[in-house]
Amino acid sequence: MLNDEHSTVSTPRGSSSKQSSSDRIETLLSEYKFRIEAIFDYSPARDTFRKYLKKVCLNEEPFMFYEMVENYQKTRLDKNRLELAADIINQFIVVNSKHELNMSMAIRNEILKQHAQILEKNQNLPNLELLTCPSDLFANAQDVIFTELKQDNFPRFVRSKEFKKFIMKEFKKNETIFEMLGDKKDDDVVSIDPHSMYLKEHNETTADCPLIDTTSFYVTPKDYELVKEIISTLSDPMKWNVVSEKSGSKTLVSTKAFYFNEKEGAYPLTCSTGMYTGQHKQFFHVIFSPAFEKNMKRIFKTRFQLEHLKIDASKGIEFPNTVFWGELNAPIIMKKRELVVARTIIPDQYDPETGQFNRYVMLQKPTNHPECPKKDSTIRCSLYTAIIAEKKTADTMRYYIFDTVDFKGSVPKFVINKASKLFAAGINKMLRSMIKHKIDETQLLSCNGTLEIMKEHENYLREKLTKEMEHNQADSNEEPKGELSTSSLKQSVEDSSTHESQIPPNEESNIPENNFEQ
Amino acid sequence: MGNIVVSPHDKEGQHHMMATPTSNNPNGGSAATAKNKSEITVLLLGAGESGKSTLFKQVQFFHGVGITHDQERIELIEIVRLNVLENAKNLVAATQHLNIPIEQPENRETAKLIINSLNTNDLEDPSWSKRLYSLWKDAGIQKAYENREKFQLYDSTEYLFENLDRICSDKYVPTVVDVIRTRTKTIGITDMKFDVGDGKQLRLVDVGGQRNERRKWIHFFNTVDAVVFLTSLSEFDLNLYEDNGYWRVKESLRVFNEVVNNALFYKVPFVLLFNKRDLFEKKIATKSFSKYFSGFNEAEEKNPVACIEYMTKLFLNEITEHPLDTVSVKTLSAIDHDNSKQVFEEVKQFIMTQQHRE
Repeated sequence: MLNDEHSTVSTPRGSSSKQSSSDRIETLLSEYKFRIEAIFDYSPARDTFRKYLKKVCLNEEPFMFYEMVENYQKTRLDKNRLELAADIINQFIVVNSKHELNMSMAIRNEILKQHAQILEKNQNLPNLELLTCPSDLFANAQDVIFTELKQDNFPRFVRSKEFKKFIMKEFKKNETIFEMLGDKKDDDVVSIDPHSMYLKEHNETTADCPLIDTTSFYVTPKDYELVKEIISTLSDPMKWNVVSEKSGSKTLVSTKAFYFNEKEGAYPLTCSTGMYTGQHKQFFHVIFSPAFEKNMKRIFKTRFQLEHLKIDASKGIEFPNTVFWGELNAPIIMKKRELVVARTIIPDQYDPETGQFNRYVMLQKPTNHPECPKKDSTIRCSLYTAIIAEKKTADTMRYYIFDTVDFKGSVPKFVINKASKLFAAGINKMLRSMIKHKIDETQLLSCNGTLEIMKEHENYLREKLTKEMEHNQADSNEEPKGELSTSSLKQSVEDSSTHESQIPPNEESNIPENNFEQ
Repeated sequence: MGNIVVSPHDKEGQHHMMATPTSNNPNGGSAATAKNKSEITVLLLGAGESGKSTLFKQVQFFHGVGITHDQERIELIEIVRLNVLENAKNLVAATQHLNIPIEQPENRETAKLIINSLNTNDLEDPSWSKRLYSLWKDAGIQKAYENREKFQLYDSTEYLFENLDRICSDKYVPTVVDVIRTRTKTIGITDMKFDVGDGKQLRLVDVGGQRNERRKWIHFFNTVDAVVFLTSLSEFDLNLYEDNGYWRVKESLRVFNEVVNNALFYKVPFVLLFNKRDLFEKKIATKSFSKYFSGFNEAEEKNPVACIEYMTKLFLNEITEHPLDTVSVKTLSAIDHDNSKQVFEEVKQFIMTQQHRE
């Protein structure tokens, strides 16, 4: 359902330009899975593969062997086969032979043993016509050699420039060459449920990581630090796998797993990220738009706010939070699923010149609330989401959407699949499709208290920052850094000092435009 | 080499002496010609299953040219499943050779199917995940696995069986770790290039390690700027894939001797990597190391550092021609991403500094 909306979105680069034929081949190449069997059956392709093996891999022996065995098997007369067998053995099987194959001792010895038996049997025959030589003598070795070609050299071949060149040449003559040599990859396989895919793997490689600040029921600066740390790893291919990539946006899944608390399981994190032409703040306003709310109703059956927490340093509440309860839409056969989350919006990277914040972060994490205790009749899920939108230039922005969800209990696979598509990737699609429409600021919805929190936080910071700024200008000479102790202000100062090597905090225009740049 | 006792089941194997290079600059002119070259060629050498390709794949990954996209990794599904089947076949065959009965009747049934008719397409079925896992956990198969030094088995066996539910799912896409852990015997030569700064490119060449493959190495000897030689620490109780009666350590030492003392590599920076440190440490906890090396003090055999020191001495003793100040020795766990990254970075630095000295 979301796909339709997405397809109407124009790419940031503009979708008009015609694809060159080379691009088209490139696309087709990535869409097909080639079969070595098909390559072997089509002689021009087979020759190309053979040349590649000889020139690039220095590995022509398996091919020569394979063809000689084919020939051997086609040979009708036992006497002729017997001669060929000796020839093959001397060229490929015997240790130190001219084209010795890379094979295990077990297979080599099996052939030599069988061959010796054949020779013995054929000795002392009264008549040469009684000679026998079984046509399957090399069948096992041929299978093994073929499998090894398939595993090692073939994947390299289909990605080589030699293969691409061949395909381009063939494609001009015959547009069905792709169907001939391979199968189209199933699109569905690509958008696989990332959860089950990575669930086990993290145990092998890396320890699980905390995703949230478990010491607090509310979203805290520590939660914000965690998400920033995660963003800084996004360009590391060992930490993130790209699930899909199109029109300027990317969906990735972490190879590491993250937990909400150490006792329960850990899950990989999904991330959608991309650039967009538009204002970062408008991107955020989409969340409060009636259209978005309509979409959220597909995910949540009901939602209501439980509490609004104002900033109160004395109670350790450094960000304003809204806590709300929601029940998920789920098939009737399943147990009811509900969740309680604490959510905040952090305006960051204040630009005193424009009076605007250049980055907004929405963070929500699972929490508990006395008004909604866990019940036996329902299952409490855990949902984590972080949406970051930041200004890049005057009219472009970059966004990141992270999330992971733990449905708890046994959930049918199709539900998880649907859900994981709905979340990060889904929200990404929704936001991207909706941002095109002009959003009427007077029509913004509260979204369970989120809008109020954003305004509260903005006002709080603006006031604080202006005060600090005035204060700094008053005694601009010896300003000890430690005095800027307001957590959120410290936030931006730390950002600027770590990334921009020690800029005095009172120099106005030096708040970095973008800390997340990789 | 006097302090090595040949493994109990060792017999003299056929030696594939590498052809003497027909180069016209036998005094190791390759490093000299490398001066001012914009491409630095580094050869990964070592006997079979020493981890050359694993390190190669890791380097590909951290230079962003590895198979990081799902689209590409889909192509490897069959290869991972083939690995599972080969492992299962090898284990079942081993129970027969070692005369260990598979205990459960239903597992015997599974074993039969594996030997006779199972193919990778069949594995795309969660019920096979259960059957194969049950076979893996069978007391007979486990007993064979404990005796795996007696036959040929990949290092990734346990990993693959423990991940069956994923691998047999119809939604399966191999992960990066799966790609790293999958054993594919390299046949022939493969290479990759990446920038190393200063307008220079590093060309890393990976090769097959079995005896017949070594004849192909020579093609690169003339143009080499550095050699990284890998040897597996955990092979001390194993025999060769291509020759079941030949001790792997002996083979490694022999190949090392031939390579390091080759006239073409004189003055070429040379790195010796003791790989599979992770497996090695696990192995010496349960197996006797000193049983294989008479010159080694038995009291120290549970101490990995002492064992590695001993191995280092064995290898360095082989060096007769190469200047020792251009040789660097390190340990590695190539399946570990972070460790590979760190070690390879050190290797790169070593090579670059040595180049500079030229």
